[in-house]
Amino acid sequence: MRKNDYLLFVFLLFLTGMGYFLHSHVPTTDGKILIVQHGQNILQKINLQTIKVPTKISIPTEHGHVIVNIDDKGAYVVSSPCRDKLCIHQGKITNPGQTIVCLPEKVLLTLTATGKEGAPDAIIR
Amino acid sequence: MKKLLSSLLIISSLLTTGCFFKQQSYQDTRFLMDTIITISVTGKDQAAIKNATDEAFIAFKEVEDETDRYKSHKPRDLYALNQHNGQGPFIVGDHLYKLLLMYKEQPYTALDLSLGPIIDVWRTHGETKTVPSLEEIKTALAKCGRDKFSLDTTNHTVTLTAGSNLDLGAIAKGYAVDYAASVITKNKAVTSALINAGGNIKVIGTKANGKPWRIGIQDPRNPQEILGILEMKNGQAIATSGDYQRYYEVNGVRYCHILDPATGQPARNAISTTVVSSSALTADFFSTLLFVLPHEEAISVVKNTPQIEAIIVNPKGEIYVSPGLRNTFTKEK
Amino acid sequence: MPSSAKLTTQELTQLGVLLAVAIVLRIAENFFPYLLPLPGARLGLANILTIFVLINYGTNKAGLFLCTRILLVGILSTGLFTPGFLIGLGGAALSFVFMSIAVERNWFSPIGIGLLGAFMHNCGQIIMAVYLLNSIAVFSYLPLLIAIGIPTGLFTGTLANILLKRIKTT
Repeated sequence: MRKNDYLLFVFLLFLTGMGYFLHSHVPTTDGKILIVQHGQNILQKINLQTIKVPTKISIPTEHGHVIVNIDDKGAYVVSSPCRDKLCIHQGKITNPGQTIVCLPEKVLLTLTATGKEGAPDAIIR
Repeated sequence: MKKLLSSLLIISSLLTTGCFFKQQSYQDTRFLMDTIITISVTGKDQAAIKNATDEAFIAFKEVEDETDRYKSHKPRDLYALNQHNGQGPFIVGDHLYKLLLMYKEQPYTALDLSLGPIIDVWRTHGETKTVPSLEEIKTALAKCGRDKFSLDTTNHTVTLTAGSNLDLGAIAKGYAVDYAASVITKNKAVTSALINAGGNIKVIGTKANGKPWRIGIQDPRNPQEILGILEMKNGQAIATSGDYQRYYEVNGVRYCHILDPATGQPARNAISTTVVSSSALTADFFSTLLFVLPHEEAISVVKNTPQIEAIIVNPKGEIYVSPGLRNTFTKEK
Repeated sequence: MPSSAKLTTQELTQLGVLLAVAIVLRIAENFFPYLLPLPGARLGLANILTIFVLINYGTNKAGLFLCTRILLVGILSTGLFTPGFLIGLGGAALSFVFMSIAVERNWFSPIGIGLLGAFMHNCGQIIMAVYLLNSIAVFSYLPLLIAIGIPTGLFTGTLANILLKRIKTT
């Protein structure tokens, strides 16, 4: 290995780091989708960009209902019939990749980023 | 250095030849079957894909001519068949025959192709923004029903009882979309295509970047908005029936174009139904059927029909998404 | 570094054997599951031989070697002028230009050449993919590809180094 080799190596590492850094900071302006799951079933997928007013959704579970508050930035659990209320303590998720879980009620909320295309290819009327 | 440049030249000329293999796109829009139809095609050869598009529109016209209830086009079309009511068997064209056969093989009474007489009643009243009387509806309804026509499979004929009149509006467009799609698929130069016939869409092939097609579903109460986006696989078709597509209002009450065969009145169990299937004809058929059926029955039909998935919006605005679509439908509200 | 215009019989034979190895490596790569949903995105193992030929035989013959390999692989495997072929071509072209300049000016050891080659190969692939698929979004794969390119570049460079030390061609 020569000196120049090391320089190139470090330069490429730097590029990768930069790329990763840029990548993880852009998505917040991109669309976010909240996936609402009960057990293995996906109940809903909601595009947060279109939530203009904070909305509450109610997920029916074995012991009652899990109420989730959604706005255009993210979501958090408002109330749950579970004993420990860990899901509520997890607070609000706002970044793609984050999740909130309520194990006793088998509820899973996941935030993902939309693909870069926001607009549909066609609209059926 | 000179040799480097010459190898560069070779490589770059190879690359430029590649330009000719870049995907070409073409799009055309025409007014057919009372709808604005847009066909978008991508493929290797500009001339070939334009050709494919033109042929697809010719296919649409072919089906339109054979299923148009209001004008005479060909000797064996729907207009001629309707004229022949009460006069015994009538030989019909291929498209017309296939459509009626498909209908006869379905067991559902909530979708009826013989509603011509009652449709005419509502059309006349629609022009004057009035509501037909129950008497009028009853008289017209008496001329309708599954028993009012029969098919003879050996002779390819259709027999209409006197006074009856067929209207194929519920399924003709879906059939036409399938037919146009088959014409496009025959053309080997085509990589992908999207046929948008208003309430009927079919996608062919994979989108250029390999991702699934994304189709927005119109919000039944807000034409500027969509309910959500559905991801579609290659070869899938989608059809939507809604009370917002064709209607008139009298004293704040909406009278839409989809009638309940049992009552002769506009169906009010849903405000929008969307069906996904591999056949546009199946999607069109079921989108109308599910629109007429009561909500719970509609959901049950979807569950019992493996070839379809559906999204149903009831009059309260509640959206039902069948399990097969929950992974690919993203709500916008 | 030899830069004679003529191709001796000895060189021709040697290059022929190396060409066969390069082709096999390139086609064998195709059996790995796709790294990315990009047609033609590959590890670039055949680069080991490109570097070897570049340093031992010079730019001109390496250029000929590369073109021949690309065409033959196209005929045998990826298909000529398919998107996969063109993306691979774009990567190979860009990588070759930079590697040959670096070799002629002696910027790096073979290991560094391997790194450079892998990096430029990936850039070339992405540029072609963006152009062919008409989608700026493809650029988002670049950081990931550069990251993958670092270990593969080191690997191919090191292997090329070993080959260069062990195999004498003059």
